[in-house]
Amino acid sequence: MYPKQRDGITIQAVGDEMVVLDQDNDQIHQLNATASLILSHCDGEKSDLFIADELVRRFAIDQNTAIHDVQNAIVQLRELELVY
Amino acid sequence: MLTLHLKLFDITVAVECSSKQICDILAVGFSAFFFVESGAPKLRYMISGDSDNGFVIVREGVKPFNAENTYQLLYYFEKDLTIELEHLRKDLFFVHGAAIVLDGKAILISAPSGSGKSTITWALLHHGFDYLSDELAPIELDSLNIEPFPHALNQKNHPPEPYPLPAQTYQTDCTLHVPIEALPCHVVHTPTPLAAMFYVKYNRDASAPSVTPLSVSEGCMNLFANGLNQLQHENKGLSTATNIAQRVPSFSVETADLEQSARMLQQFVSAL
Repeated sequence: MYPKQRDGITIQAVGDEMVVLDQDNDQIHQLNATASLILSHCDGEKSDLFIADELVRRFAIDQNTAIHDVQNAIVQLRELELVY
Repeated sequence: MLTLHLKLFDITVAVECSSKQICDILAVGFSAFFFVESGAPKLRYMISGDSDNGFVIVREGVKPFNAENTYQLLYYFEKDLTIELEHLRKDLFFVHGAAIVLDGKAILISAPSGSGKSTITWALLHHGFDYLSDELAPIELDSLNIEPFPHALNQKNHPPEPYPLPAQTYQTDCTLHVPIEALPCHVVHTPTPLAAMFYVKYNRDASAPSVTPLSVSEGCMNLFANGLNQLQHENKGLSTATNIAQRVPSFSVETADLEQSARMLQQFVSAL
């Protein structure tokens, strides 16, 4: 799985978090630090497993938890149409 | 023709009215902005008609638009005027909200329509707050001052006791307008430092009102969502909203009983 940010969204980093403007859907989202880190790596070239490794390094969590969190987050980001 | 001269955010506006009735209606809403003519106006309107047959509003250089009644006259005129002001003052970040002042500190009360923003604002004016702005709170980005926009305070419904509207309240088909001369407080005509931003929501089932601090990102999101000219600013307004939210604290407010809510907010702002 190589998630990629949708074109046309506008991102503002606010500390560890992000505020994401989706003008196409007339929505604005606030992402927590974990979701922000995941979205920042969704460039279509990094796999979900690579992103999970980043979570392990950043938040000192175990690999299985990280994979679970990344996959859950990507499902939610897809539902929000922020990644595909 | 009778001509009214208005000045808002240093922009001069001339409004030519075909009758005294129109002047009187506009005076209810905009008397705070009247000034003595000095030079050519930046914006020029012509308004004709009457309350029986409707009104025609013309802004110089654009297609005329109709207002069927006094409510629409006040609403459409102000809407067009404020959009033009947003274009002319792109340096300001315009927010949909009210601004009131306590001890020299301005607070922003913002929320989507129907959240109880106007009602709590009206109540707070009975608890030591002075009036700075309603519906439109323009933030000056360097100083973080809120520019005054003291049009008549709008209410959609009569507030509950103990905050009845004064006899001078002007009623249209849909709205109640309290002229600034009838407010129970002082009107602030000078830019005032923004001390806090409150995003309110009325909860009729809440046993007590509450205030909850928001993170910078939550503050940014709320400010952006209630902005009016965000896209004119850096990074489609997100950078600007973040900049403001980093410098001014934001709070979520759940209002309940009106008097209890007003007293709680008055104490909270006093302690800021």
